[in-house]
Amino acid sequence: MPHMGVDPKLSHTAALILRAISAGYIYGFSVMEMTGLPSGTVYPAMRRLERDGLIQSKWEAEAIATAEQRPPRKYYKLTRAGKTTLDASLKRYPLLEKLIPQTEVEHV
Amino acid sequence: MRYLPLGFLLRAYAVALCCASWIVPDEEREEWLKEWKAELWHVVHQNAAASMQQVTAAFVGGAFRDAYTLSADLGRAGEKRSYAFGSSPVRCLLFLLLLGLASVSVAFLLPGTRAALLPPPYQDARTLVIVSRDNASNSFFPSVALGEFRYWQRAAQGVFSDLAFYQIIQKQVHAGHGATVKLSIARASDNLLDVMQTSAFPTTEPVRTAKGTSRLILSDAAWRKYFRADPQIIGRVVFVMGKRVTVTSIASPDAWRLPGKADAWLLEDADGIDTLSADSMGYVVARMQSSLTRDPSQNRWHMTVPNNNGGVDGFACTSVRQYAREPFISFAFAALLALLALPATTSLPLGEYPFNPRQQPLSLRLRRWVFFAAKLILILFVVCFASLDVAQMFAPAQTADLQCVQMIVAFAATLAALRWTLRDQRRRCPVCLQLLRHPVRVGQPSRNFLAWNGTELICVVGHGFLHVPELPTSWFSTQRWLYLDASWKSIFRPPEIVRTT
Repeated sequence: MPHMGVDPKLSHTAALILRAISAGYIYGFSVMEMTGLPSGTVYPAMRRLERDGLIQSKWEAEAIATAEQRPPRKYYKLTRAGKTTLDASLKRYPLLEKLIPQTEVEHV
Repeated sequence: MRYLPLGFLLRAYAVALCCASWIVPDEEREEWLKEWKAELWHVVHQNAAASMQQVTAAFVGGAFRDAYTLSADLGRAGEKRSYAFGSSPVRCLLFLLLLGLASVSVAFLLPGTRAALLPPPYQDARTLVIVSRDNASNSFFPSVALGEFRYWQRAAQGVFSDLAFYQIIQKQVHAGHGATVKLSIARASDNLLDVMQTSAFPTTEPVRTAKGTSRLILSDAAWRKYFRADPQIIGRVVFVMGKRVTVTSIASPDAWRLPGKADAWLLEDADGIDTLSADSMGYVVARMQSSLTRDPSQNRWHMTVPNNNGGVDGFACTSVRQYAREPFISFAFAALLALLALPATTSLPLGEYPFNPRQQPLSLRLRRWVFFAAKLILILFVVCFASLDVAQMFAPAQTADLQCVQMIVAFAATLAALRWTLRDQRRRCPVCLQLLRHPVRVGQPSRNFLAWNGTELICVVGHGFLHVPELPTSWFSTQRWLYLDASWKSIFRPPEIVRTT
């Protein structure tokens, strides 16, 4: 079951990743590139955020990937709980917004 | 810096990801690997050639950490411990295979066991026979008197083309400079090597021995252990039983495949052997006449010899090729005894698995039996070589004691192994072959005649339940499997596994 805390306090790294996903970096490698964090940190963190119900994943449609001759990838987006948590975290880490400005969200 | 081709790199990194995926629990593995492979493709194609190799290597390195973290997280959650090491049927077989390889490796490291695995270094080992008395329990004990050997030398030329006598004695060897070592010596007639027809006892350096001086051949192990591999030992005179003998050569490792443990071979001429009494017991090794060995499948012959009491004595002539197989024959016998004893120690039925063609097609049912057979073969393989290893490591030096220890170990280990194989098979899901988990007590013993009571185990993937009765009754005598249809599946899966695909 997701661990839904009343006032979940995220670590700076988790908040950074959450902010990156919120800002439109919606797959693992783009989050890595944006945050500068290594893969061994980003993917486990995203998995835990998903376990805690703050983000959810969705596989890209096979047809789109096939048309572009590449493997389908897994996209992540914030849940309602994730948005609430991120808002709380931005108050705690105000520089996050400046570190990762909002981009045009990719449509998947 | 030289850059590797992109296709090669992709394949190499994909292999690394596959390796990392084995850390991930089974249920998560496929999706985990799919995501990492997809990400890898993009990492490789989005980076410039100059930095690609380092970036990709670092990226793939993170996969191992992710796999470990995921595995640990699921373990901590207590949801998927069923995917622990022993649960997976493939890992179970791999583990048994590794055990088997380890026991074979140990067997090759131990000189005595290695000799049993390698073919005898004697020319035509089938026609080279060990003669033993019929009433001797086997050919491991010295059972032929020197007097009988002398008689056969004269009278059995139609049976044997050549024959030699030897007995194993424990004697001190005075190696000079006051040094004395106690060796197990095969005291033999001087034609022993001619009868054996082997190159394992090298005679490339002929050493002149004075007339009446016996020859001593050292085993490779004794030469290294007691004489510190002294290359000058050849030609040296040492004292055995107060007699001067000349060390003539060093035998090759694993040269001796006949009964009795020997550190050295003392080859004496007829005068030396004649000092023994006619009642001295020993081993006789002989070459069968070619006219008697035409049937290539025959490895044992029988010989009757008139005795002084007017009757006849029977002797078995066992080929050395057959003798080399003795450890495996002993194991087969012990395994058969264990198989016969098995019903007395555990119940044999594997349980009732109702036929369900939709959930258990023929291929799945076959897979279950193939797994059972593979497990059985592998564990017998492990026990066979492990019993040889244990006997070799802990048994006393005598061959007969070694065989006794091997048989006792083989019997006990085979019985335990067969019990474990049956028990493991009963505790596995017939569909996915994973170990069943979460045992719970069901029912009340006081209501035994009204409803069943016992233990219920569950397949965590959701294939079904196993009901094991506490007290077998006429209507519930053995464990029963209850299939669950696919609609139950989501209940058994943790939420993080149920994802939109």
